[in-house]
Amino acid sequence: MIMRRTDAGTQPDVLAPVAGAGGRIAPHAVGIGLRIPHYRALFSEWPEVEFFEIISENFMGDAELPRRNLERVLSRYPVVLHGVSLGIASAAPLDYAYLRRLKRLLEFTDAPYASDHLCWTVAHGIQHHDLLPFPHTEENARYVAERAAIVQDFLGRPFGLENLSSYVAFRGSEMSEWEFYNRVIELSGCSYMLDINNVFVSAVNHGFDPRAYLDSIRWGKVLQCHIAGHRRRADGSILDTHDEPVALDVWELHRHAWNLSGGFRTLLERDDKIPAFAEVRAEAALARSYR
Amino acid sequence: MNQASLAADPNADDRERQVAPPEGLRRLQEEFGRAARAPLSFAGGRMRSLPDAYPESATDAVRPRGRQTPRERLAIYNEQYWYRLLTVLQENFPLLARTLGFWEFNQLATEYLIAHPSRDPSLDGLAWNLPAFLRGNRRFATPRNLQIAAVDLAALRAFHAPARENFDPGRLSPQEAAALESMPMELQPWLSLVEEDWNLTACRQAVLEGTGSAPEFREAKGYWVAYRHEGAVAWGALEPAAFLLLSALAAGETLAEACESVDRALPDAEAERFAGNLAAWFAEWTSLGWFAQPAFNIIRPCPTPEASFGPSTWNTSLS
Repeated sequence: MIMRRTDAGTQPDVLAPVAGAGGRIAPHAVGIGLRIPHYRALFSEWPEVEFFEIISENFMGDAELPRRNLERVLSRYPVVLHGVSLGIASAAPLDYAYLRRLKRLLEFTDAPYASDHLCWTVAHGIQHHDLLPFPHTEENARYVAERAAIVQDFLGRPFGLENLSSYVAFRGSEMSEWEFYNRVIELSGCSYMLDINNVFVSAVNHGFDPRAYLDSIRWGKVLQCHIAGHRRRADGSILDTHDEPVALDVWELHRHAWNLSGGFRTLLERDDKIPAFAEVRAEAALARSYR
Repeated sequence: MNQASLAADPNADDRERQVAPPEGLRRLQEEFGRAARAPLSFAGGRMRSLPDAYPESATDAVRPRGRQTPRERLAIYNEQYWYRLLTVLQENFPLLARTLGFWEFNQLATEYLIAHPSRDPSLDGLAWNLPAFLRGNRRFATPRNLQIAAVDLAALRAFHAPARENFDPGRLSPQEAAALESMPMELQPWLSLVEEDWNLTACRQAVLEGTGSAPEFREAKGYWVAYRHEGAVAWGALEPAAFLLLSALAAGETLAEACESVDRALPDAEAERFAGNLAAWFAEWTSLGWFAQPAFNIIRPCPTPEASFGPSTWNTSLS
């Protein structure tokens, strides 16, 4: 067993300013998810942005152009890493070829922390390229926490786990989603990568109070908070699409979280129907109004 | 959790530690995965999930809530799986998708993904076997479609394939230069040679530029190389002799053998011109980084026998 102690005194203060290749990221900084359609604006205007978050897998392959573009970004901005394919809750073994590439990317970017999702991705050796849910049980919490602790040790930097937006709940769950999330963070010694939009999406889809979720978070362990847009379906459920502006309900939750925590880094994600960079930057700046 | 479990296991392998999964979690993921990957139906003119086909064990595990049944909730994941991967394949094979039409292409791509599901965390390699798969498809494997798939794949390779160290003739030792005469000249993994009987590379470019109209094919013989230049995909038109030479090198021939092959295939007048062009071509291709550094494996006498703990020779690999 490789569980870490979670005593507050032995953990790094994740809210302290963190430094990467492109400079320091302030504790209350507002960042933007780096996306290809924005490269032209970035590389010609070099707008002021406190930090970018990159999708790790987009820069872990053999393609040369993504790496060249990343070098240009790193020349001006700090970045943090956010992955989608680790599958920390997969029953499949941890993929060390993947982890070695991720570690090399961490070293290349000098990102102060990395994160991925509290989900599974692989079954029958097949990658689903999706963020898939699973039952919230004590046994599963221990399994996931142990793997997350291994990953954090292997990477040698703080590792954050992001809560999912989900469309199914399981009969076998023994605890609420937030109890499970807190349990994994507690057992693993890893950090929260708290997605406030996902809290809202899952709250609507599963009928819980999103404020109760946020009230349970131990804010000293939050690396960063995500915000994003979603889409309502005709049946009233919500899909986490990242193709709309952030909903007012989500901004209000952001404010609630801020009041509970005393502050955190906020990161805006936009993954589809991506507007011009100036528009995305203006939307990200709204985070300062919802504090 | 108890304190004993917080301690590090002294027997654990620090390099590649693993954890045994709970059996229930493994089973659930297998059943859920079957539901997520269940093929969509193309009947009735629209793609849709078939929730009745999901394994009962997967639907039984899901808690019903509100107006949606567990099967309808699983269908969200099922549809997302297919839409995401079909979109990737459409982006990777833009000319083939536009030529077949997205409806037909999605059917081909669905059959492909059933036979070749993704097994890698990266999506970069998802589409690479599609041209080979297409070859075995009776409905779509026309000569033109096969060439179209090859053109799309060439661009994909130019962007995503790994790079080897560039061949640098200025750094060769005399021994290596001598050895090179009997060694194959290897091309970079990202370089592809494409022979087309229609104006396919031009049509692909038009599709990428988003002209909106369907590809307008016309018969036109062309010889192309797709390669990586400053990280981006570049296309170069080749003379037939240059194409033959590079093809021979790609087939594993040495430079001398490849030159002989081309010389035999060309009429006398062209063979003379080929000989005159060869040095300039070779210099240009080398400067563009098309050749990979050969894997020299030259046996040399050990310079300091007393320092040797093994055989009295040593290998130098410059690869």
